[in-house]
Amino acid sequence: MTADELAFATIAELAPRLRRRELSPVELVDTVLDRIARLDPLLNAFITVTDEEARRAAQQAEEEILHGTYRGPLHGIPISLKDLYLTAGVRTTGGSRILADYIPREDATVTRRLREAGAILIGKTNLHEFAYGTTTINPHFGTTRNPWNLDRITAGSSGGSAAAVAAGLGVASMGSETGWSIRRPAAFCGVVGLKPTYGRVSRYGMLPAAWSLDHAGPLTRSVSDAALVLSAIAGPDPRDPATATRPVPDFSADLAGGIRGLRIGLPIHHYAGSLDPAVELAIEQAVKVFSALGAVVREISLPRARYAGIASSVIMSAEVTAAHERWLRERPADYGSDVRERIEAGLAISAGDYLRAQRLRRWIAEEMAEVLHTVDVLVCPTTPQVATPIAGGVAALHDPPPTVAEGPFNLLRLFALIGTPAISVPCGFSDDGLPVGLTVAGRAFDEATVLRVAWAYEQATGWGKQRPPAL
Amino acid sequence: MSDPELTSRVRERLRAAGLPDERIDRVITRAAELVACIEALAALDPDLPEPALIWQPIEGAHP
Repeated sequence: MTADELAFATIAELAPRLRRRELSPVELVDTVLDRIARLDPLLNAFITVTDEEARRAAQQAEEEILHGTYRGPLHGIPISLKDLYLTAGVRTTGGSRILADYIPREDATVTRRLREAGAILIGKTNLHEFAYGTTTINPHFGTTRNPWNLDRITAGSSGGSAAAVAAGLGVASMGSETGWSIRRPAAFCGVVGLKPTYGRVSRYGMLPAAWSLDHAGPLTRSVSDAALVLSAIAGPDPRDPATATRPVPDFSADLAGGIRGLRIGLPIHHYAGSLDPAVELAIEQAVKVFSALGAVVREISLPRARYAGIASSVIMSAEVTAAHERWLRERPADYGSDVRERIEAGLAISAGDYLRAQRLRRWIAEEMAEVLHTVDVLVCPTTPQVATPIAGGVAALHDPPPTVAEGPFNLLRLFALIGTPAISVPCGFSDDGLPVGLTVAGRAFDEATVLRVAWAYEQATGWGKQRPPAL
Repeated sequence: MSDPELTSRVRERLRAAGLPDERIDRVITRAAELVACIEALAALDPDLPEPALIWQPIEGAHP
């Protein structure tokens, strides 16, 4: 493999070679670190690069594998973490000035599980400050640029993770999602982004945005890789009371099981008139692909999803503001202006408002559970548009004000709100070469079906194999 | 902001939370949007279920 081929290989391609000792973890990590040194000045995907630690860990992985101790498919694989996962001895900033010099003494559960699986931490990726925004235009650590067009945003808040994976700066990255912060950056950057079921992956040691909405999940270059990373990080954790105690299946086991006869719901009327032509065309073609693979696709209605944006926005505002109460009082000037304003606005939410939004949330979730008796998964555009311009450093894409309506904002916030699993996979490009994403969403704790459908689509189309031409 | 009564109530909430007036002026539009939506919903009085204290996704659709 050439250096470029190594940099863009998947875990599924690299792991057998590492296990058979045809490829050294040291060579792989050196390749990735050299690429980060060359390209990250353009992209600004990383806040911290842990090159010395990565080289030490690669050496250790090489020795372990040489001596017959192979830990599994993540052993020797270079992975980055959104800079809100605690890393013992490595600073964790949350993309903020407030935590710019914070060096944790322990790992987040996700960090620890990845290390135990043999993954090699190569660095901490940029994000929208405290994961509370949608652009990764960060006043403290700079703007992350989209590898497909450096003048476009990556979206956020996991923008650094998406850019890193898209540019071959690491094989996978851990992101987080409170509204759509894994799937939208994945769509904008042409990679896979998986938001597992709420409770599937521990958030212990993850800086909170909104406790009842936060999810941990991977961004990868393939669906197979998302399954492999999820298998390593999922499972109960007594230090995160929201984690489910149910057993964790092998998420890779049934990827190739096929989708013949599977029932797919298409809530397309939520997007009427709001889709970029490129997105609309990509979704039309995706439906044809699913039908050709033997699935039964039909339009469905989700009337209560009209309220998802309100429930999500009110719950998120109240919880984020509560989480930041002390710093808002003691260090208000250390926040960026947009994040400070959003946090302060949350002070207007009353306890009654918050509880009404939580009741609304359950009402919406009940409807989705009923719909998922009639179909096996939903598919929809991840975002109604492709990546927008950075526009001179000013945030170019805000969440719109919440309204009661059938619109993309309500549907895109839906899956984090009700906690069901959703994955974004590449599904085409606009005329000017910007990626389009397709979301597949399913039943609670049924990531296996979501991954199987996404894998079948990925294999049939190959969109995820494209690379940013300038890199 | 089209509803002065709402604006006034939201301003009072923000003031009661300790936000100085110059900051209230910056965030009043965003805050009022949130409050307006949830209050409008309350006015509809839909038959909503109880909230879950430890929130978990609905699992009723499990095979």
